[in-house]
Amino acid sequence: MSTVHVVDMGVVTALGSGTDALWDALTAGRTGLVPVRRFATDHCVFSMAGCIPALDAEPPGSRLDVLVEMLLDGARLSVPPDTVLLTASTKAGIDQLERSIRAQHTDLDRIMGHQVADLLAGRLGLKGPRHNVSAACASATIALVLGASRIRQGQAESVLVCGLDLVSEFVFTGFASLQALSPSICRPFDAERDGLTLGEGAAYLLLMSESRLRQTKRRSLGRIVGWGIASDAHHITAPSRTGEGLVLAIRQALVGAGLTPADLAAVNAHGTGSVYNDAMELTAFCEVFDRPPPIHSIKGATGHTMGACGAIETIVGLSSLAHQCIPPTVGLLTPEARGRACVSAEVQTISGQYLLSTNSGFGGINASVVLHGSDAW
Amino acid sequence: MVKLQMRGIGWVTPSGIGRGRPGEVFRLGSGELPVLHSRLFLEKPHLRFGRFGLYDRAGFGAICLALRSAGLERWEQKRPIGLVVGTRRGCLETDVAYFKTVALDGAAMASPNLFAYTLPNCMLGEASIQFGLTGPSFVIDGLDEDHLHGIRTALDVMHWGLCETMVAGWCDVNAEIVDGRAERPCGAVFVVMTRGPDTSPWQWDQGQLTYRTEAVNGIGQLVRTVLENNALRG
Repeated sequence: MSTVHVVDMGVVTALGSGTDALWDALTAGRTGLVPVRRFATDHCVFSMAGCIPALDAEPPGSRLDVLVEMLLDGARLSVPPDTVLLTASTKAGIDQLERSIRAQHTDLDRIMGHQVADLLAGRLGLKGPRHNVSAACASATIALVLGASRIRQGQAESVLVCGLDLVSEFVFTGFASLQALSPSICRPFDAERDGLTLGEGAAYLLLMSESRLRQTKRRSLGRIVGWGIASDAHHITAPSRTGEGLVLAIRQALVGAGLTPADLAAVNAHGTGSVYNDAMELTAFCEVFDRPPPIHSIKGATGHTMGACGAIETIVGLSSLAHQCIPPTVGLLTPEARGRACVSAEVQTISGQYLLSTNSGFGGINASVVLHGSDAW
Repeated sequence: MVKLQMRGIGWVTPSGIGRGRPGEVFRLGSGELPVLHSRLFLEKPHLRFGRFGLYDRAGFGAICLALRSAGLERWEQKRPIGLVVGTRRGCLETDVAYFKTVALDGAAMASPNLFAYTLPNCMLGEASIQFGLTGPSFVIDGLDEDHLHGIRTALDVMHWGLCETMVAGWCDVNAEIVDGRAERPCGAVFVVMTRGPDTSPWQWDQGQLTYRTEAVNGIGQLVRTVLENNALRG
């Protein structure tokens, strides 16, 4: 069994580019939620989202290409040629489909999931296996599980996981039609929360085995030590009220890591700000933990970045372990009763080397990873 | 290395539907799928089947047939069985139908019923609800010409110890927006796989699925091997 190291990572969100920019903005309590400018929102009750300003101008192709260039620009990402590539995206370059249906001439080379993997592979010169993982808002976390499992079992030495999704009219109108968008700004784990706020972003994590880490003389930024995936088998758009799927996914991760709940210093929750998701998560955390550790959500700062959120939040989790604190839950005013002792609108100090990150999504899917910190920061 | 049992099989193709019973013909091909309604696959009507796109109908239907073939259709308690599908176009035809409600009818008329099925994993979610399946569930988007990428990933999931029983397969339906009049294979094929005894002829080793010593290199070959050798349950 090989250890799974994270040796490189990069991120772009509405809070800026790079891991330092993201961490600084999150810990300062800033939000990247802004009025949507790239399509009309006058039919919706709310018009805010975590948009990256540089993506507002309509490019000749898909905004996804611009997002990838922003992610890789200045990243100095060096990827071994035998690297397995796993992308995670729910709707890929859906902006191309929007334009096509509106009878505007456009290429359609980014509208399918596998084309996201092709885009990254072409950009990085990767010739090895590549696929896109699609599991709603748990996509990137599941891609991390698949990548980490390959390395742990000796099936790969190097895996690049990249999550990416756009704020699009397609998705915005869809969540609006489900009445899932907050009429204000999302307030994860707040007693008065009233819906989610969308966001966009991209993040990559380069995973390596212990032997490849040594060979390439890289430094480990942290390890992925446990993981789990489980379905609610309850409803495709509403979470199980008992949180049974999330409980299963967390317990699988703890068993895989050889840990008990008491070993976890903190939880980076999915925390969308929707009434039922956050209630489900608090129910699950109360089931798993005798006394939940500090918990936070970044959705009030970045928006809900859908297929990318698991990758972005894993980066935040490793940063949290390195700094021994978790960012404030932006938007939180009055914590729900069950979260009063563990969620906060302020930075919370933590103590320990293990952090749990979880995501859940439509289709009733839940996924979790347990991260171990590194001294190399 | 994993020794396997193939416990069940189900398919929906332009040639018809089947689950390995005598007289059923499997043929992979292009063209129109049969008209699909829930009573073809379930004893009782499915309340949301009418909202499904063709991708969901074909995939959900083939999963129903595979689980019935495996004797796993009925349940009382939820079970740790996983679901993986490999696809190229996923629910693209539903995406088009949904966005037409936005672009042509006005954004205020966006259809929530269609939007819920613009995620290709929701087809798997419907199957997990119908049959009480709590294992890993996700979609693998790929271009693999053998249509085996979903099954290979599910076999890895078993090999890694994440789940002991997997329902896995391939599902693709035509999407005019990208296919035009091109004739591409369409339909859905799912198998139910569990870990088997050391004597099982099915084996997954180093990325290769074999029956006895013969490599299985395509979804059509997989189905034919199961049917010709009466190879269900290994």
